[in-house]
Amino acid sequence: MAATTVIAAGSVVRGHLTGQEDLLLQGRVEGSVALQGNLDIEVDARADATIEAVTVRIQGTVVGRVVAREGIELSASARVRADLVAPRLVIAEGALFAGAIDMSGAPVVRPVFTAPAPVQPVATASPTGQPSLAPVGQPSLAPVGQPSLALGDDDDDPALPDGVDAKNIAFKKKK
Amino acid sequence: MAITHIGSTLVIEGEISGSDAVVVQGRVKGSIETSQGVVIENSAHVEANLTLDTLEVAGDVKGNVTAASRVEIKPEGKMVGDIKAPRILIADGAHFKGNIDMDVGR
Repeated sequence: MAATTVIAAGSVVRGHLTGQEDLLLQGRVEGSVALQGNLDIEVDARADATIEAVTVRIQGTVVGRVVAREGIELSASARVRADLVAPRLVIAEGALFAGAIDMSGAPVVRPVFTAPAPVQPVATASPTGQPSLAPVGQPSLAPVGQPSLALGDDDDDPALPDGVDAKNIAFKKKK
Repeated sequence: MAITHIGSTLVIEGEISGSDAVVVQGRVKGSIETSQGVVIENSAHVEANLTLDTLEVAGDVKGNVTAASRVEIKPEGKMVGDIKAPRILIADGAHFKGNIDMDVGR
C-alpha cells in the first residue's frame, strides 16, 4: 500500500472519497471519506465529513463523525467537533474537542444509538445514609453516540453533508 | 508548488476544485476545476467536466474540457468529449471522440 493520495492546501474536494490507500489532507474535504488506509489531517486542513479509516491523525479541523478501526489521535492543534468511534484514542493537551466518544470496540459502522453497556451499580452516599444505586443497565451518562452538546442536533441543513449539522457554525466563530 | 494527488485506488464522486496542480491515478466522477495543470495518468478513469490551465491525458477521460492554455492527449490516452483550448496536441495512437474548439476568444 505504497500509494498515498494528497489533497493539497489549495484544493477542495466535495463529495464521496473511497480508497485502499493512505490519504494526506492539507486542503479541505466536504462529504464523506472511507479508506482502507490511514488518514492524516494536517494543521491547516479541514474536513466537514463523515470519516471511516484505519487510523486517523488530526492536527487540523474536523466537523462531523470519525470512525477508525484502530485508533484516533487528536494533536494539540486539533479542533474537532465530531463524534469519535475507535478502540484507541489519544487527545493531546491543547486540542479542542466537542462531541461523543465511543471506545467500546464494537465493530459497528454507524452506531448512532449503541446498546448501553451494563453499568455497575454505583453507590453514592445519600442524605439518609442509604446508598442509592444507579439502575443496572441504565447508563447514568448521556447515551453513547448522542452528541452531548447544547446546540440542537438537527441534521436538516441541506447545505451540509450527512452527519454534519449546524454545530459547526459555533465552531467557526471560535476560530 | 503543491500538487493534489489522487492515488490509484482512490475513487472520488464529487468535485475537486482549487488552485493546485492535480494528478489523477484513480477514478474521479464529477468535476475538476483548478487554475493549474491536470495530469490524467495511465491508470486513471475520469468521468468529469474539466476546467483547468493545462491538461495531459494518458488515461481514460469522458467529459468536456475547457483549458486556458493547452490540452495534450498522449499516445496511450483515450478521450471522449469536447475540448475548448487555444492549443491542442493529439499524439499518434491516441483515441479521441468529440469536438474541438480552438477559438477561445483571446
